[in-house]
Amino acid sequence: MKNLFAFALSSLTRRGGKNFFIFTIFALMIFILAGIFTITHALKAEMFATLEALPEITVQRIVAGRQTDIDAERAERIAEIPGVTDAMPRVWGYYYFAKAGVNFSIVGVEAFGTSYKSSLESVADLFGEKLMEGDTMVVGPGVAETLARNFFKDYFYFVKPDGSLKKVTIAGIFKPETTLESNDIVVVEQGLARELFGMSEEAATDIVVKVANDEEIPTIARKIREIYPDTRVVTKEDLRISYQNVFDYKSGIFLALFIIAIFTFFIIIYDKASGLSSEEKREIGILKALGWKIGDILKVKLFEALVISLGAYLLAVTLAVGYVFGLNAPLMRDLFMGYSVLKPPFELPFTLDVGTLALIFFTTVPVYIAATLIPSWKAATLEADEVIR
Amino acid sequence: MNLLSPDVIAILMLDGILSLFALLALAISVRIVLKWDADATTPLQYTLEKRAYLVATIIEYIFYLKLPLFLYFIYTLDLLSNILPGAMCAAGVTNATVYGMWLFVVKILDLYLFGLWIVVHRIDMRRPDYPYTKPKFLFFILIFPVFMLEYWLEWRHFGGIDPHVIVSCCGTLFSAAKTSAVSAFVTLPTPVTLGLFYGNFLLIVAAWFFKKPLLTALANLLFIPVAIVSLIAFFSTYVYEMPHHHCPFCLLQGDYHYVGYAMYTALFVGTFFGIAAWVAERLAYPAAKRWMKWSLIGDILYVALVSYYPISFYLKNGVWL
Amino acid sequence: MIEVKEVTKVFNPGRPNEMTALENVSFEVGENELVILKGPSGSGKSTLLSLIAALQKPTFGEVIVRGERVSKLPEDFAALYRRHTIGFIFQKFNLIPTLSVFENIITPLMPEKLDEKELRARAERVMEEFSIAHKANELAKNLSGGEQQRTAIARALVNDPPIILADEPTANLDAKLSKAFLEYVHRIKEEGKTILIATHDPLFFDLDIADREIELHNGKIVNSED
Repeated sequence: MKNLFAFALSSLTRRGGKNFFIFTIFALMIFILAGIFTITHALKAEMFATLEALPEITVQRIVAGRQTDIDAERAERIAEIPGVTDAMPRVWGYYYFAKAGVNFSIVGVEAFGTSYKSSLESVADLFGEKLMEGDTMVVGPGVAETLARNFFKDYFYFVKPDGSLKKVTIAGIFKPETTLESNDIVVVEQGLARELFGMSEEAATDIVVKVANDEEIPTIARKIREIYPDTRVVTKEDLRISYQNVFDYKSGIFLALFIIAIFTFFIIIYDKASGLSSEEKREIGILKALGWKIGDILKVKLFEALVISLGAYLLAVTLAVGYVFGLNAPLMRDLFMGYSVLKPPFELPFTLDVGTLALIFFTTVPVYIAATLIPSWKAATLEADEVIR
Repeated sequence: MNLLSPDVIAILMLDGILSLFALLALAISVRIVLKWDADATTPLQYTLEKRAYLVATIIEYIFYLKLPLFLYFIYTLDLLSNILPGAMCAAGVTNATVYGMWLFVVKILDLYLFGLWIVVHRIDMRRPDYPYTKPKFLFFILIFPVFMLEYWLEWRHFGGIDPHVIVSCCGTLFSAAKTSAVSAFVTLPTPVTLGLFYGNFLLIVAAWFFKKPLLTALANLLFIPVAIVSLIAFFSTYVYEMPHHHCPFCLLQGDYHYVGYAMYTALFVGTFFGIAAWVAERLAYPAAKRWMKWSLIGDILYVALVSYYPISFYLKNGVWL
Repeated sequence: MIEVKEVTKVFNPGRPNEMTALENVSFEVGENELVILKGPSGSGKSTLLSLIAALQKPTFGEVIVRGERVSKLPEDFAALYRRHTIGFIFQKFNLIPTLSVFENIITPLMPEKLDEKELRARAERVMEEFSIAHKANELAKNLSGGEQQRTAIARALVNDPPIILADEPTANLDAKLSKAFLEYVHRIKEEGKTILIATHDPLFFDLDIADREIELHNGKIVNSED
């Protein structure tokens, strides 16, 4: 066994050119696949980290099929439902900064008040006094950078919906927990947020609801729907499943395309493995005449296929991990992050699970070996007597 | 198809490739069964001899790929339980369609059948007259429909899963309250379950001690359902340390250190070689004794693994669940 | 040792290109005998060797070697039989050009469960015997004719087989190397091997080294003299 393995290794190096070609193409395919899957997985992990911080239930008002402002006072009625710990109106939205072509996420907070999110609460506490002074904001690092690039170092003029300008001073820059989520955030006092969006005093963007016991979430969501039939009630679970589905769908479509590619490759390998040179044929003939069994030659062929496919797999996966987490996946990440220019400077969190590795493995290595199966058998059952004719 | 998860696509694709190969193997097998003549020196016989190698290669490929693929299949079910509302583990996903449980059973059956085929093949290849070639290929022709059934079930199951329909979690599926076939066993009195389980195990040990291959095979065959039922009814609750959590799937999750994979592997090794040893003995293959030993080791390992949980629980807490 | 019984070999039977290579050939070779198969090319010598080596099967008749009906062996068992019983010296030697001398010599041993040490020891023994040890790591394609010849003989003997089959071993050699080959044959015979050489090189007959000559013509034995 060990000797046959050594023979397979030597056989690979002796026919280096042909094998190198296959190895390279195969490694490249695995690399692309591994890149896509690791990015998907990392993004998914990041999304779920974001999701964890989200409130259990979000209540939005829908008019004519579109989301619109909700009456902030509804929060008090919702808070009375048994099982609800807290219900808070939120004021938030996007502000398009035309000059840089990016969107900021403006989030209104109540200084020193409770917030639906601990990170925002700490921001509000930390910069509370400054935010209370009025017309000040705390921004994420991405926003600060974009503004500075446009010569707004200390303040910024927002254009309000009525066209008038509003000067807001930068009170501080905060360090985001997860980069994907808070890089583009602008935190302001709630009143200021309403002013910037042109919303009325009692309006809110949506209402978030905290629930102590997860099991009660569906029941509470149903009750809210009954009280306010014009609302859409989204639970964390709903979001999680739809995120998961979107990601699965994206990588699923990709995989479907990839399968077409791999079948093409299957044919290439099949063809390469079948096309034995006369020298190879003679070699197999010699081996058989010297007492090698069909099984011995099959083993050598299998070892060759294993070395190439496993080698390509290990190399490609290592390279892909370096490419995604070391270099932050240039080019490939654009497939996933098509939107705001501000979003991309995130760093993908390092997540690599056995499942992703297994998925990459099962979609490549067995396919390669399958493609060499019949050619190997053909080679192993060649007539040996030709060498002595 | 409602689920376009990459893992599901990968499994369906691989099983598709395997099915194509199996089809080729079937075509050759039929010819061999009809035309094989060990005494003939005709070109046809030589061709068949060579093709027989192809069939064997294909079947070995299928088997050795199916072993890890089965683990991956379970893993995928576990993964899908994140998407399916209500599912906490692979149990919910398995029960998402009526085909799920059958798919599981047939998949396991296939592993045993393909494994046994390879055993017969190995034995056959040791004698120059290839005495079991025809029966061996006939055996494959009989296995083939089971394999196709598996693939069909797989499509029906994965295709039928609807991510919007709430499925049951293992808590209700294996609870004593529910009147399903599985639940019936859960309601068996614990002493009966344990008596069956350890009695069966003792029978295996005795069969090994007195070197009775047929008894080993039968006892191991019986041990497959007995081990699984007792795992659901009794042992799993100690792994989870929850008296009403009966589930053979949650064991496979990281929360329990993936101990399920070790348990099921030990059980498979134990029972498979127990049955294979008898086949080997019937076909006068010298490995029979060694396999009986492997079988015993696998079974002991399984029993030790599952017994560890209640015993350590008792030692820690001084009570039973 | 070797019994060839009423062997007939027909290639492509029933087809337009049907060709009878051997017709009703019978002979025996005793232990430690050196027998030469002679006859013009195309007379069936090589076919006969490949039948004895169980590389092919006779259409009719049988080949029995050391009591075993090798003409009935299926492929795997034929391979084992070759591995343990037959040492083959091919026409043009048929070394694997991209392997070293050492690697070429151990190829018959590779499928066996032998450790590195044993493998090396066995190779050393034959390499010493045929004075090729100094070239052990040289690629076969860089060898001179004589070195190739000695490597091929060493490879045939590495398994210590009781029977040596040689197919036109001197066809591509000059007179000096051919003579050297005969000396090696002589030495191998001294070791107690049974040797069967297919050749039409007159050198073999001039030196009269054979115990017996069997002459083939158009697939039939025309004379078998002692």
